[in-house]
Amino acid sequence: MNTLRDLIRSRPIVTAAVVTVFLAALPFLLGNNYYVRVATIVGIYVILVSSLNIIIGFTGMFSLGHAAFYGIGAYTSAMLTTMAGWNFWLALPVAGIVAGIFGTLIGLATLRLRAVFLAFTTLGFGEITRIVILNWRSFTRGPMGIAGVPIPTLFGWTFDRYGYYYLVVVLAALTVGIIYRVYHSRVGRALVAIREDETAARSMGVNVFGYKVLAFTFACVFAGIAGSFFAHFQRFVSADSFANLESFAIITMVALGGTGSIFGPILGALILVILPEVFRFLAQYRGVIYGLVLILVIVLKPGGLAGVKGIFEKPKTPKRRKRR
Amino acid sequence: MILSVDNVRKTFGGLVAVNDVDLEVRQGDIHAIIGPNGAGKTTFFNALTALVPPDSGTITFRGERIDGLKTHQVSARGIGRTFQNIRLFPYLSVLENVKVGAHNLGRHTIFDAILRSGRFRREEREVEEFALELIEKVGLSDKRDTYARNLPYGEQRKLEIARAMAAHPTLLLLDEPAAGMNNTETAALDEFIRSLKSEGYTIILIEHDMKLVMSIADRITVIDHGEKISEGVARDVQNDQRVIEAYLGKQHGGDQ
Amino acid sequence: MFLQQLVNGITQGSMFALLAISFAIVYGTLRLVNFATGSLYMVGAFAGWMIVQFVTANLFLAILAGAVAGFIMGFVLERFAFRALRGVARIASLICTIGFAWFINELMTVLFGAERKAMPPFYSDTAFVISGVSVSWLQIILVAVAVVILVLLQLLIFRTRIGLAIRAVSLDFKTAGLMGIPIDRVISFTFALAGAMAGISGVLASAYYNAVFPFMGNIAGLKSFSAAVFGGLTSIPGAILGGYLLGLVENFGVQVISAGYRDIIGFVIMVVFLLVRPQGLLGRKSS
Repeated sequence: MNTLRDLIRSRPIVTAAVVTVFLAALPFLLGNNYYVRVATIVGIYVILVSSLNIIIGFTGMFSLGHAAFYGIGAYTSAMLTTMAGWNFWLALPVAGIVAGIFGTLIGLATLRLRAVFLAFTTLGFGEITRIVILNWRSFTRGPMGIAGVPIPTLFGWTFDRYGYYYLVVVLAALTVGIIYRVYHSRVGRALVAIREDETAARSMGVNVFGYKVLAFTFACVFAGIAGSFFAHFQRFVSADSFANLESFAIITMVALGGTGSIFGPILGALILVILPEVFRFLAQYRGVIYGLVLILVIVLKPGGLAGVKGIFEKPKTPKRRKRR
Repeated sequence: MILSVDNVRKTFGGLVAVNDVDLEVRQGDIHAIIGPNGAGKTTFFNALTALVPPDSGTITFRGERIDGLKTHQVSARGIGRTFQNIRLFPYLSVLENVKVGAHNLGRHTIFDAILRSGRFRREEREVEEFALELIEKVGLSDKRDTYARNLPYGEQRKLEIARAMAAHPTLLLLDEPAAGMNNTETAALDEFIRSLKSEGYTIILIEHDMKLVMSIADRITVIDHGEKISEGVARDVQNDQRVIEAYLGKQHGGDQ
Repeated sequence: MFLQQLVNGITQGSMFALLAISFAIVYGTLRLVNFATGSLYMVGAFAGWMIVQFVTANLFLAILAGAVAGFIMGFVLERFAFRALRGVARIASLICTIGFAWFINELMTVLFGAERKAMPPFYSDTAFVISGVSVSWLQIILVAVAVVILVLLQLLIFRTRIGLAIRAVSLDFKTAGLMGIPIDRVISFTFALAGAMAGISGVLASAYYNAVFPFMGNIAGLKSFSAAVFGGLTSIPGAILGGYLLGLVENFGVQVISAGYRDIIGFVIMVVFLLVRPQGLLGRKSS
């Protein structure tokens, strides 16, 4: 693992080139349309998991309702394109912004309270979102969902399976790249400092509440963008796709891949999307397996596969030498 | 006066932790605050930095009222601090810890970071240089990439000071910097604090090591049971009957 | 109409109160929100259903079975999972309780299927009618059972040695240990007790709504947690009060807004309330 990491660090351009060529060639290597579809779903989850990792892994906050923001993005995009006749390319960023606004509001309301209340409020927000979507028929068409979400076109070319795949690769790469850049900046350092020790961060001049709201909003924007893509990929949205179980799936991927790293979420998404596809006979046990994975990771390997070690560790108070 | 504290009071339920304390700190001084365990010294620091906002009283720093500000705003006004029970960022490297200390030197936003703007690059370069300088100053250059949690105790204390200095403060609050240090380390710390003074820092120091305090402090304030019981230069304080009494009681007092 | 909502509110409030207590006693002793509480409620309901389905159609036996199932599940969860997590960060143990909730729900889905199973009606005859509102025997029994359990719980906590130990542990974990209280055993018992409360609540709910299904605990858990928060999260009287208030607010609330929003009324009120009074209605203020 370490030698691989060193290799990547010492040859960033070569690595980038290899990865690009691989991702570009992947659909041809897979051949089968179904596999390309699975690869596209992996891409959606890379965006979702990476963005949730900003909240849980970087800042140490606890959101249980990420799927709600994903759903808000999906519905925003689906409604704008089907009901208002917007273009996909305009609806995509707007979906991100709308999800971000909801994120800001939730953050402003709860991030001053004890951590458990954020967990609970986001969980409840997930439920509220689902129930409002189901009940506000005149606006969301309720349990019917929204069908016929248009296929994106680009310069007159209508997207096919490959088009979706390449688009999601670009979106996921942008997401990961942007998160990487933010992580390695004053902002990212402030977020990690908050995770490590809020009081100390505050004393170093970090506006803890402000950065928490920022991180929460930032993450929700990406969730909204993933949602928009999903709506146009699936061409149908309904409340079921964004229930709390979806949030838990994303959390499991964060935990498995590794909290607080850039690469971990990609790994988590890859494993947990592909695994059930490989072991098809396990399909009905998908939920059981996810739950089990979540428990085992926390108990046995709290940092996940590629994460920064100690986020799930109890913060250690340094041992004090006896005073003379 | 760089810092004027007037009648600051802090109570927790029925317990008066800081009882109407006044304090005047002169620019460029090393001002020690001593007192038995549980006397309210750390609470006083926490009140200054708004970690526990005082119930009443005023705090004026460089001519500006800072009571009522938030902790991060106090820090931004130029007050840096360390903690009695070391609060580093355990899973950040030495270098990163110091960089967080320099948080408010930078102005770049999340958008600068995403676009890698000119401002971002310039600020990151400056912060990197400055942080490395500070790390060298406290003698941790060879450990710049070590996680803070893996440092030995004495070096964690040094790193805390470097981190506090990273924001270019004019006033440094050091909470028991010599705690747990051996004689050699304390002697080095003595020298280091003097060097800070010669660079123009004003320092308020909470310390139990009397040898260190008597050696470096320009003025000393003694606090007991939340109240200021004595103040002055080392000799005056040492001969003050109330101080002697307070310290004789110390054996019977519990640790906070 | 008013009276009808009052009766319904009190009946449902009884179930919320029991479940809210389950949250409150675990949070009180360990400062842990057990998100698997809703699953214990569901397991309790299934245990009751199995008694009714395969053994005998006796409501009281079903309630007992729910209590026992919840007790055992609570004990097992604590003994084999949460104890290992006691040293880790709170965020990790929270995530882990979600893992358990999910695991248990999905396992039950695999074992029993996701669809609703019918719970036969019990004591559905009208007990009495006042000003046009009929109250069934079932409603009386549900409320009575809840009240009896609540009284027993108070007695247990304030009149027995184990109750004293629970109170000591919840005040200060470490000191209690130093005073010679076997904290591990006390915590196991607290979890088991919380499980029993959830299990009983589950059986009562299944009898009231005539249904059991693997995901029945999700929304019930969410709502009851609202009630517990409302009451301060550590206070048992607070949880009881919160539970009954929620029951009433829900039933009167649906008169004002559409019934489809029933499940989120309590939650929205809770969030607003939290912003104004974070320590809850009866909770201690912590600094």
